[in-house]
Amino acid sequence: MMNAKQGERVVVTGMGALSPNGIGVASFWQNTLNGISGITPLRGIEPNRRKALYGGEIHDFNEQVYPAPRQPTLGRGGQMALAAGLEALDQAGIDLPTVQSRQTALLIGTTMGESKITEGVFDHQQAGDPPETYATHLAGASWHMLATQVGAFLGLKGSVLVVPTACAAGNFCIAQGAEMILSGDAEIVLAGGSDPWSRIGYEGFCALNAVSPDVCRPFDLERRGILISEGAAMLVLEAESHARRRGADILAEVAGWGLGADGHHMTRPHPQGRGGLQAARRALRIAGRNPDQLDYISAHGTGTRANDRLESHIIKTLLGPAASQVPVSSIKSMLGHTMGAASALEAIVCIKALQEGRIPPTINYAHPDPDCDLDVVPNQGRDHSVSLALNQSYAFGGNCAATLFAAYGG
Amino acid sequence: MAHTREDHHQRQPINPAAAGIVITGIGLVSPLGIGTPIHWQRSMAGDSSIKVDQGAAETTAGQPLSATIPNFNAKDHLPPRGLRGIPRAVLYARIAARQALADAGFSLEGLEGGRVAVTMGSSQAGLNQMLTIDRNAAAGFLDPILFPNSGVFGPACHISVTESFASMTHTTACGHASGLEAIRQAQIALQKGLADVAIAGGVEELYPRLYNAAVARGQVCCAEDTNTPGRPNHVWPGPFNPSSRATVPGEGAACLVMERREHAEKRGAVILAELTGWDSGFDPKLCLGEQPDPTIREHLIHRTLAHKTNGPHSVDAVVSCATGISPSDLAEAEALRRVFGANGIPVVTPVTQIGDLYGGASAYAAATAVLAMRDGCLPGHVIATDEANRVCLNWVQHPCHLPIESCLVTAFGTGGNLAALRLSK
Repeated sequence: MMNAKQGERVVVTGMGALSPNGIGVASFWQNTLNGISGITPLRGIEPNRRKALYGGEIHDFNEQVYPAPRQPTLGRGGQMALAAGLEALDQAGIDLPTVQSRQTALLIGTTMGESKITEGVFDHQQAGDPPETYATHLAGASWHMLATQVGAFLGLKGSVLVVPTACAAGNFCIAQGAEMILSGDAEIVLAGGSDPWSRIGYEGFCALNAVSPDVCRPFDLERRGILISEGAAMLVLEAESHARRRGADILAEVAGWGLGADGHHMTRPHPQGRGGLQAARRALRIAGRNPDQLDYISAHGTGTRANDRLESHIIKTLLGPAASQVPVSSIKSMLGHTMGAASALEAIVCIKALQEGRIPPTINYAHPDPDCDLDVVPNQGRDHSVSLALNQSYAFGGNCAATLFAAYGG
Repeated sequence: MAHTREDHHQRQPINPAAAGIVITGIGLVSPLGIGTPIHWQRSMAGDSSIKVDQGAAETTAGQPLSATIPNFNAKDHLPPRGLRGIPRAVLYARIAARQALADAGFSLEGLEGGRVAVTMGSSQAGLNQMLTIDRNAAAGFLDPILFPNSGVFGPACHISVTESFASMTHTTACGHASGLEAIRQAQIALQKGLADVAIAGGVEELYPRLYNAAVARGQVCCAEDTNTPGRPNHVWPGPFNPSSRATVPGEGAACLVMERREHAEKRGAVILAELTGWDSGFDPKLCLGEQPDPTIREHLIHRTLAHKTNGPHSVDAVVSCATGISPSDLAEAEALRRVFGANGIPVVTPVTQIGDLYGGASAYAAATAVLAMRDGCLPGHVIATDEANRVCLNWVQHPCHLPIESCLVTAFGTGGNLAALRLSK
């Protein structure tokens, strides 16, 4: 490590969230804790293309909320990231002039990017429109534009990146952001993920037979797949000394982070969970903690047969006999799969669990699976003191990342 | 012009040299050739791959230009199994990665896959496949193999999966700076001991639909005289030219093998270059359609050069990702003038030979810098204009030989994402 800031800790001082079950962290957390699902019959796809009936759409978010007269390509993904980012900055007590005058970095994770823009291009082409009518839109479909447009709106001067490492991307961004703080690459980092509901993603996952026809049942014997959803979540990261100097309210410490790779297959996880284990162990090593110190695990928990079986194996390998003692829940049972935003939303869940001593449930759980013999917090949230929470995420291509959050004790 | 670090930002200088991160291999897939030797030979001969794109529709401005990889057949370079449904960007990246490893003296069988990291940058990889998915799904038939390969993470992950490299994978998308960000992530992985070897690079492929849209936006240069195929470049004003408003899209991949110095030395590898400075930033004005700010670029260069040596005086040449879109180029030219003085340092821009590789451009520029230091020579520009010199840059017109101990690579592209890297012999 470059260690421009040796001995420094990375802390979270702000959070913002948009999810199918709540806009804003307060609403998202309350509904998640209470097991309230955001899954509804899909509106985002034409009836004649409908292969699965349900998903997670954010119906009440107006994607035109941020006027961008000079930015015609600020798509829904960017709008959602911006909304979450502004909420996070507001909670952190950081105004835009401060963001603009400091070395502030922006890292947005995504799976599908501004896919609605890409889909709009296809719609124009189908309609026989000349390229001039959609050329500007297509410029906005380039992967980096999701962050570039948000960075321009905020007037940032630090690094502005999209980290498109698919469904682990939110954790990748938090990990990278923590490194940037410690290396001196950035003073403030806005890190998280954003993915708008994607027709292409929906069709792609349907083609892979990975989509559940009704609900998402992580770790249940009868689980039948994921549900396609949308969401965004952003966290404000800064060095502890930086936060204390400006009198910020510190929400939690990013105690550890780790990346891993399966190096095995583009869609199937490694049979021994190589990348996932590697990521979790690296996160614990950075934190100087042992697996037996974990109080809660926010699972990737997609609801597919392969993922949940493998994730259970990873947790049992990591924790040994203690695995059954540590509560593990999947909020994807309520949200569906918010893709690149998923692990950022799950990071917020970890931090709220640390703060409030309560953990959310895995809903739709009815039939225990012997391969997934964990305490999955079935169907009801519970009071549970948490001082160290692990947030796991896996993705296509073997991209794996884990983050570790600790209660901040000053 | 004297500057200190404190003039610019109260920031710690980036210090990649602290852990001695070196480059030991290069792999290139470019319109000039597949493989570093043929590419570099043609580059130093002053060849250009830019030509009139006969497949593109002629516009009112003329026939568009492009720089594509001709007659590409993946089976000539990769094992034939598992190539179906794989975007060209993935294939380019896989070939470049294999070449880089071979150049570094590694055999795939001899590498411990769990200690190899893969970090790639791209801004458009997979987009064309996403459009295809949308079209095929609407038509009622979608081959399931297309979707998992459509993401921009495809190049890094396919290298990892096909070669069983499992230390970590990472993908960054930030326009022209993508490749330098990938190099940065590789550097961090090596410095933290997560890997012994890292493959870092950038890749892009040219898609007809994206290309046509760029043509429609007026961002692609068009040849007014289409009767002279093979020599259209004279109609492109080129980089650092105030009259240029368009670029020439290209495609290709560049991969570097990176290691900690002691690891490379222990195995007796030839060390091609060392990373001795890096920084990144953002210019929001470019994205907002306003005049870009040279000062942001100037400060970024100073921070990149802040470590260890005597700043600008320690650099012998600049390899720039300038594109030919003048607001961005002119802001970079102004920054270079402020840092190095008018006509103060030789500047080369690979775009004149291979087109604008976008997300692959800065990795390619870094490879060019390494080769320039290795051989003590700089490729020239094949555009017959001295406009760049009029903006007071020592723009290298013809291939030349000169001792180069250290190079600055700039990625100050058109979207506002900025990065710079210093490499030393």
